[in-house]
Order: sequence, then structure tokens, then C-alpha cells
Amino acid sequence: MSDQPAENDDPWLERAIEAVRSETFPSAPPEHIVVQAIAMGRLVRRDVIRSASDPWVQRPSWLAAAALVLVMLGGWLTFRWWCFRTDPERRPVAEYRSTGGKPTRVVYSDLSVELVSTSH
Amino acid sequence: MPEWEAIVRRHSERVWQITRRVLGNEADAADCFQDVFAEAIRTIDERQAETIENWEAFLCRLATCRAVDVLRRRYRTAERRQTYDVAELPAKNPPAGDLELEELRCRLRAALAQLPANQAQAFAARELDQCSYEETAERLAISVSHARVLLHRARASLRTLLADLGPDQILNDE
Repeated sequence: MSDQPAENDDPWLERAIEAVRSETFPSAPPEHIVVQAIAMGRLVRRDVIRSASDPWVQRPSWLAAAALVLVMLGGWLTFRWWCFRTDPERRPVAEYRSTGGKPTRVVYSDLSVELVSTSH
Repeated sequence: MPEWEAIVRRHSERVWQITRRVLGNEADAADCFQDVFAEAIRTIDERQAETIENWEAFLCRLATCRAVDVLRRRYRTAERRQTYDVAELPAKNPPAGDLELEELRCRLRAALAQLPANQAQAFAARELDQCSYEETAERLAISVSHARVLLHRARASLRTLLADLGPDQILNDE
């Protein structure tokens, strides 16, 4: 080995390494920590499996997406309504008078219909 | 995926020996043992376990890395004072027998904790766990030449850190 001379130039280091290598201890872990590791693994796996199958775990993403869609839809409807109400070319084109206290229906150029009270 | 219990039972001895050898006491080794398997189960769930072909190599790598982490943490926080007490044992007049061996072990572990993590991991795999250079490189997922460089640097640093054991003692002893 190329670094063999370097390994031998400090006997104290070699002695310390040998001391650690020669330390004796039971080769198998205590049974209770093996059992704990097995139980912990099952617990973690069950959590992971449950997380994967539970849509609520993913709620931050799908709630955010749903909220965004709702906000966009609301914004678009508001915009359309505003355009509709402020259209300068919108004018009444027909009027259906009614009798018997029923409101009069006014038809506008954009084909929308509004009811006008004729109670007077 | 193989049954988790079978994996733990099949590889528990190997993981235990690595953590116990590096850490030197049963309590820390038991904690580290649990951490290794906890990390393994989380990792394999994220990656989908089918991708792991060699469980022993995977667990040995985790065990070496986590044991060195624990060792570094131990000597950098609460137990630093205690380690220094051990380090202050009279190097000029080392006690004989088991006590001397115990002192050497403490000194080596304290010194190992002061190395950069990758050097300490390489040293633990090669010198304490007695892996070949190829196995050390495989365990750390690096090239053999890189492993040799890390080991060379680790040895150089350890020689400096253990220098106060002194040549006088060698002469006296031999």
C-alpha cells in the first residue's frame, strides 16, 4: 500500500486505532432497540401511506388553486357586469307596457331586459 | 419492497457494530441506531424503495455518516467539557492496561470529532470498520483516489491532534 510508511510513522495513532478496534462489545444490538426500530418503521410508513391517500394533506395546494380560480372568475364576472352597465351604445329599443299593476319590461340594444315599475 | 422487519433484523448487527465502534458507548450507539433506521425508512419512502439494490451498503453508509455526526455533536456541545477532562489525563505518565487503552480510545474519538466530516467518515470506515479502500470509497460514494486523499489528510490531522502523547512515551514503553 502506498501510504503504509505514513501509517507506521506514528505508533501512538496506530495504538489508538488498535485500541478502538480491540474494544469488545456485544456484536448484536439489544433486542429492545431492534424492536423499537421495527415499530418506528411501521409507524412512519403508516403515516406516509395515510398522507398519500388523504386529500386533506394536499389541501394547501388545491385550496390555493381553488381560491385562485374563484377570484379569477369573480373578477371576470365583475368586469363583464361593469362593461355591460357602462356600454355607451346601450339604449332601450322596445318597451312592453303591461296592465294591471305589473311592471313594464324594457328591452335594450344588447337584448337585456329590465323591469320598470309602473305603479304611478 | 422487502418487509421492513426483515430488513431491520438482517442488517441490525452490522449497523450496530458500526455505530457502537465509532461512538464507544451503548447509549449513543442505541440512539444512533434508531436514527439510522428512521432515516432509512423516510428516505426509501420518498425515493420508492425499489431503487435500493444493496440494503447493507445503504445502511452502512447511513450508519457511518450518522455516527460521525453524533461524535462531532457530542464533542462540540455538552460533553466537550468531559472530553477535555479525559484529554487532560496525564499523557506523560499513562496508566497501564485497560485504562491506557480507554484513554487512547477517548483521545482518538475526540480527535476524530475535530476532523472535517468527510475525513472522519473515511477514517471511520477504513480504520475502525476495517474496510478496504474500495469499500470505503463505495460506502462514501466517492472515488478510490478521493478516499485515499481523505484518509491521508485525516491521518495527518490526527497525528497533529494526538501529538501530545509524545515520542517520550513510545521510548519509555518500548
